[in-house]
Amino acid sequence: MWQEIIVLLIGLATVGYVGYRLFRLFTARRRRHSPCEGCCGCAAGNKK
Amino acid sequence: MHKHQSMRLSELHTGEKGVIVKVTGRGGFRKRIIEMGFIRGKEVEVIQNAPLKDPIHYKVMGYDVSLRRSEAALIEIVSHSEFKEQQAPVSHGETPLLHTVSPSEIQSIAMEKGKTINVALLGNPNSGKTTLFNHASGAHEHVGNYSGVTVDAKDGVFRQNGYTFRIVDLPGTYSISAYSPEERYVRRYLNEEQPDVVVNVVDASNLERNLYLTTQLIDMDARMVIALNMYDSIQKRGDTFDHESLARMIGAPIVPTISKTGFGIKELFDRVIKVYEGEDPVIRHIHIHYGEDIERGITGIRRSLKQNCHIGKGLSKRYLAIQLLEGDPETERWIRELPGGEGVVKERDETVAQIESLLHEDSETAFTNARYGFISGALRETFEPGKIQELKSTQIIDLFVTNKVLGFPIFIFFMWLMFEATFRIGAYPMEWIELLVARMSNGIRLYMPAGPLKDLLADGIIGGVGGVIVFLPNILILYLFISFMEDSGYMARAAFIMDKIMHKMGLHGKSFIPLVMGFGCNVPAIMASRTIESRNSRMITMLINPLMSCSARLPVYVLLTSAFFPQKASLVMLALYGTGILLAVVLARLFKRFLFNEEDIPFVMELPPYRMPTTRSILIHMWEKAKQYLRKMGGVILVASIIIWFLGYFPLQPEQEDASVRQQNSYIGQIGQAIQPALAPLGFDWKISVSLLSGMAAKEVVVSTLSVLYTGGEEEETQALSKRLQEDTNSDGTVVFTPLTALSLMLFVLIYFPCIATVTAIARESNSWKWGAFVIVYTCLLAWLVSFAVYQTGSFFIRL
Repeated sequence: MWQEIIVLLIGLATVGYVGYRLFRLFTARRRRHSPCEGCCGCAAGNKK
Repeated sequence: MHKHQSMRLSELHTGEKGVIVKVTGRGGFRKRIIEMGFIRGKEVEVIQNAPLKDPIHYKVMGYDVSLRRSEAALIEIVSHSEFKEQQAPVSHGETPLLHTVSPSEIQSIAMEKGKTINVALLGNPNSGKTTLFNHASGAHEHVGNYSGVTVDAKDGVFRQNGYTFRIVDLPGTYSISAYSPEERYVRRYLNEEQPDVVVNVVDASNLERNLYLTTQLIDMDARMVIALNMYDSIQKRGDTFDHESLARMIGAPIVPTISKTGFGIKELFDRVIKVYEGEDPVIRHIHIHYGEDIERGITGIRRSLKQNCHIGKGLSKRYLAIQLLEGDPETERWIRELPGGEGVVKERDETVAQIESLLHEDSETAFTNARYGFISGALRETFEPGKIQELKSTQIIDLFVTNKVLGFPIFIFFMWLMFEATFRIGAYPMEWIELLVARMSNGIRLYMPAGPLKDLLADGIIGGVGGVIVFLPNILILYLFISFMEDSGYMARAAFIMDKIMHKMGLHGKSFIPLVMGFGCNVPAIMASRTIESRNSRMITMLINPLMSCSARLPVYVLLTSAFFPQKASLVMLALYGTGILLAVVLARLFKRFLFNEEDIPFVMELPPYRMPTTRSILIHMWEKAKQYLRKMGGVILVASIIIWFLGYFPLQPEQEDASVRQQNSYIGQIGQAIQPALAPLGFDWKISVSLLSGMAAKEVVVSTLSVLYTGGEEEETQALSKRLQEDTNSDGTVVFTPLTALSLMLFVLIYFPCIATVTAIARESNSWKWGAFVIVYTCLLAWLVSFAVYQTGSFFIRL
């Protein structure tokens, strides 16, 4: 049972995280300082 | 760009008091205001400051003084109310301590704040600004031995001798005219942010061209210290340069530096302190003499500006007059908007016509010639070239690498060498990581009780993330080569030899730099295309950049080439990169023809001298890349692996069903089977189709998805992914992956949907989501067509 609960929590956290990232992506226009909206895929993410 | 906000004297209300932190602004105004008693640590009281009323009445050092609002705005202060805010308790619910503000406390804050120096680093592209910035601030910004690496301002903070330096590394520019985006950016920064001191980084190996920017800073009346960077090149060539005399001549201290080794950087900032404190014996404002005819024109326009336009004291009128006479469009637009500005512009037109008729050359050329004349004169007195002019090593190397016949084979050889090393040397650490991942997975399988969490950990998380993390060594080796080629100056040569092809594409060789940067990551590469002056070339460069194989695609290539082309892995990889470049050439030509067919502005491409990259700089590049890769593992790849596992695990099915049947009936199986018909002509089964779908977030996710989906039977689960792919079969017993399928898949991954970050970068840089959508559509269509052609042609020949 405990395994099911942890898996459920991980699933919920993942959905929440994806939702948050998508929200950040679509509201990006207002935050001009970040060129890639928190994506850490490359060096550009380090630029202020 | 981060602006450090501080309170200004003009913001104080009647009756309020403040203590002076510093006086910003330039030249005569600043000097006069300091002489009036507005010095650091002195208290000022506002006698009367009525809204909309100018001037404001102040009391300083017992005297009554009136200042215009615009002048008071140039004086930075600490107010009593600001001090109280700082003293207020941070946590809620605490009772504020009763504290009377003593003048000495505010004074000490003002003295401390006054010890913060805002420094702007400015210089020609490739003059070593970013290396100097990194050395001074301890940052790890990307550097490269070609122009245009810095495309945005970066800031850092460090302390030296009790002073805090807020240092900003501005993009490299040859001048501060308003032609290119970075020139406009730099000029706007200097005018709006008004740094306390400008550090002009001058490349000692190319003094004449670098000092051109210095002459413009002199005109601008910026408080400046010159960093004579790469000073060792002067010593190596045996040149004699009396930089102290030159400093005295131009009124700006010159400090020899070698940013690569850190030589002279401490002395440079010691000198910045002296200049900031007004203690430097060398600093003074000089006027470059542009000749009688031009000078007469400058004086007239300057007078007119003073009389007719209300321009703040922070801007030099002489500089504005020069800008107007040079025909600077941005300054003209600004002046026109001011009351009385139209009259000034009209007078400027008459003066320009007069200058041109007198000098028989256009006004802008006359200014440029005069500046170069000034530089030439200054250098004749202080600079003596070395007697022995031997053939420089740079010239010898260039004889081969930029040779018409040898240039290309050498370039291809270097690329092949890079892939060979990435593949062969990388194979060893890759095996070790694979072993570690397998052990972790086995440990969980053995010691954890059965249940969904065990499956999620073993198949989803370790399977997905572990499947991608094994490629970290390959990516680091690739970066080692890319960094070496960038820092040494070879990449600039590669751009040079590609110039002809670029012209055929309708682009300039300069576009090759962002394209080559795309081999590392498409996002900074797209940002680097800002340095291309022409909008047409810039747009084409951005649109074709996703065709450059970024390092995120490397795990897919390494996985599939090692599994299906083990003997010719490097050649296959070289061919894939080559295909990307070839497609970029064709598409650039098409875009030029149908979308951006206006003529481009010609410009010169420079070849920087070769430099031996430092181990530190290469290690920094590799470390940064490793950090990014690991962060990606813990972010997008982990999340994607979990999602794929969930979709593959649910809805729950009877245990007695075969694993592959269960997977087919899961949500992911249903999604895969829904999209698979569109991709079946390319040789892809539903699992590959799903991998491509999830790979839209980041290309590495293709591998992590394959790793989660191709778990096969219990026996296969501990095998390396490449083995599992080789052995996986369809329901009819035929193998899923043939070398042809692998090739078709690699080509699809190379071309299709650039990751979300790249699409966002294109939309941002082009100021339109339309172009982001365009890239998605064209890359997906092209990927389908290319993979279809390859797979169907290959299958046809196999059947023969």
